Amino acid sequence: MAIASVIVAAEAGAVEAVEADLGRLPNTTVYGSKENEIVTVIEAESVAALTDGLQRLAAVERVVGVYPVYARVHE
Amino acid sequence: MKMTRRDLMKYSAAMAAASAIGLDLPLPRGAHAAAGPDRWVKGVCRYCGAGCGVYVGTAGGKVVAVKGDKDNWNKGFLCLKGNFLPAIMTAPDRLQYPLLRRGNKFERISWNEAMDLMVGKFHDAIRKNGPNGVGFYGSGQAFTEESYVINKLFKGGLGTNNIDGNPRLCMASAAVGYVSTFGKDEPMGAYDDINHADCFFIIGSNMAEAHPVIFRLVNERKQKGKDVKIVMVDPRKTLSARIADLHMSFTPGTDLAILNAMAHVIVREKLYDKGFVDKHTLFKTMVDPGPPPKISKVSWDDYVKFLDDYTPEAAEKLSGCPAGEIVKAARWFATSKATMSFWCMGLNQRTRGVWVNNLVHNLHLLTGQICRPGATSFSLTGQPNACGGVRDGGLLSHLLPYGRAVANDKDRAEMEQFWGVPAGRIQPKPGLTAMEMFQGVNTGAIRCLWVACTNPGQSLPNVEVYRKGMAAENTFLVVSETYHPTRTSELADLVLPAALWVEKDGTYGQSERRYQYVEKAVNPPGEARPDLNVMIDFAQRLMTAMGRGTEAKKLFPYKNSEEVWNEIRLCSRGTAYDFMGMTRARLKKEHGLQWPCPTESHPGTIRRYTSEYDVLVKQADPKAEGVLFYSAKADNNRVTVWLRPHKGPAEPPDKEYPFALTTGRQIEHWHTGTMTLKVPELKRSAPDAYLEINPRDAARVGVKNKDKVRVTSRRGSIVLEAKVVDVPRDGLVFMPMHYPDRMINALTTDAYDALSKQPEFKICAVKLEKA
Repeated sequence: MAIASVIVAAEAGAVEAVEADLGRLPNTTVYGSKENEIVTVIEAESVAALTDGLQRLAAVERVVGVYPVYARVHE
Repeated sequence: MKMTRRDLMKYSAAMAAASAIGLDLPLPRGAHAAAGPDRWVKGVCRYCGAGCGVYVGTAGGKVVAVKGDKDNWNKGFLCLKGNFLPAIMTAPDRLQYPLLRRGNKFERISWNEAMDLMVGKFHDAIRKNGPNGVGFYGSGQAFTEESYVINKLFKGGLGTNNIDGNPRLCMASAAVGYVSTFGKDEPMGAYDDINHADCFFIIGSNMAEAHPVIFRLVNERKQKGKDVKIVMVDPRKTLSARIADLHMSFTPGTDLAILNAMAHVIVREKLYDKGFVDKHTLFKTMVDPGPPPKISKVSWDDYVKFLDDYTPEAAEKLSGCPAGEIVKAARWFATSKATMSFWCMGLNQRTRGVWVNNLVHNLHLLTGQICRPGATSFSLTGQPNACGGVRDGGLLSHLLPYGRAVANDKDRAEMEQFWGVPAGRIQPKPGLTAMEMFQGVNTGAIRCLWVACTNPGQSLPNVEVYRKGMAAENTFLVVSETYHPTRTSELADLVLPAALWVEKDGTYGQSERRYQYVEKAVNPPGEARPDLNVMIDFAQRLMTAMGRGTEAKKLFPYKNSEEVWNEIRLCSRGTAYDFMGMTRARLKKEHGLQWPCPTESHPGTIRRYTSEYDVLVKQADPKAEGVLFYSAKADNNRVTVWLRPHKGPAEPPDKEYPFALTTGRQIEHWHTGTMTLKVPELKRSAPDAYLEINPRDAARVGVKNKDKVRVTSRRGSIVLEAKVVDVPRDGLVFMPMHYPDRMINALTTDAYDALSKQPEFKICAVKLEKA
């Protein structure tokens, strides 16, 4: 199991829409937001699969940045 | 609700992110048992020059996690690469023992054998060819203590200035740019200026991929600030351009004309700050490039006349950048409350790198957009200690530590006295710069070369030419490396296993003059040793072999890195750098300190050259109020607006080679990939190099997305997959620089800037064919 927490930055005024879109992604949990930044955790079966999750976050409409904060690489 | 272990781990991860943005996310009751590392050790990220503060988590003697330091400037954030740092420690190709080449194979030998052999070879070369027959090529990734000790050995102990570092390839033009404009190196501002700027002028930098955490701060400022403008000047429409209000594309190599045209608009429309210009500046032009360059002082009127040639329309003709965009950028730059510039390799890796750096500074000086919160001229840095260990510490062939110069009689005498070496030991002539040193290896002038913590066998421009010299039988090449083989260690005669990152301790100094201590967290594998330890050992053995054993004991008495650091503090005392207040104890406690920091009660200096923040202003002139460029003492504290004409690249596209090739980074990887390509998830995300080409050019060449394309320059040829995407402008193609099995530097030109000696990686001419 691998877990990463990520700050997802949304365009101004798009936080709620982005939060909703993120919530629909598999293995993705939204924990809250402050201003335009959304605390998100992604899970994957392997560490290698985490990057797929990060790419999915970046591809969400009106996302302007994806910033990983913490990752458990060895588990 | 009962939380599972998985829930706890997720929550723990979420808390780390929440704390980074100041979101209150309390830990649920009973959640304290969440699994985590046994111990967290404070350090600095191993990669770029941003210098993000980190905590390294260890368990069972291994690095298992990394998290951003929320109390440091990076506010807890790390980039993708930083988050995966634990994987670089345990890569299967970690070198654990010294290796000696025997024919085409390497054999394990003991450290004693390795050091005896190395000392014998260096001693022999010095006896036969003098001290200039040997050289050292260092790194902006080594700790400050390591760079200081090896610099002391070569310049003070052996008496050769043939010691240079890989920052010569990445930021020499920025360094010479600062020195030629302001009199001293390094940015005067800080990342904190991002929080105060209303206009960002970003040129020659893809910050979103190369410096993501700094870019996040810019993005945050853009989102939260009122009417914040971002101008992006880049011939590629990179990820960074996503948030730009104005993206100015141009023909590669014509940005000097654009910057002069912006100055033209600022002068013509009287947007300049006359009071600032009159009080703090003077004007100079280079009459003859030399060497040595012949420089002449000129007047404001001469400058205005010089700018006559650079109307926005004339610049448009040269650069392809619309005149209207140049005018708009100039107005935003001049009239914002505070303008901050960022640039990186797009300006530095050029044959006119120093000139184009000067032209950015010119805009700040004309408009007075400098030395105020948010108003500053800021060069981004590529490596974690290029500023600290190499620029500040003087690990370049023309420098001595802390702002002193090899060619300056007083500086040499001062260092000879400080080090306690005989007068005249330090040679007055600068040594060979990076490219000259590898040319010297090719000609046999350098018989023994020690390369530490860097990978020139992949990273030099026109690399195949220099690989031959490194592999030649009459060259004794020693490589200190963490991994083996690399494209350099494969050429070595002797490979020494090096401890990596938190397997040793030392000090890093990043882009905003912030020095930070990296604490040791785990032991190195096998027999790998910290480079500092190897350097001290080598210094004592070699000087003893040379009959200077007593001197060696006095010069290199250090038992640990703290003793070296304390000597460095003394060496910087009374200079513009002044680290005296940065004790090891303070660095362990604080989240970095910015120099000058002259006393133990001094908080560090966020902005230089202004009495409000910089204590050295009053030391230079007790009556001074506001801005004082004490760094430019030789010009009565006036800094220079340079008249630098437009001049194109060394090798522009032509009929035979019609495309300009530029190289650069991807967000997943760093430099020659020795570390990031060992991280499975980063490699999986970005597994190979490609040729980025826009759809119009692709159609002209007859290639489609994922087709194989042969890319040929005057120096070499490689085949890559095409990535057809509307990012580069017409006539420009891009390749990432990281991949050891692609060797894209077989194509790049080794032409270099006459002033900084930095090569022009960013522009060369190529032709394309469907393969």
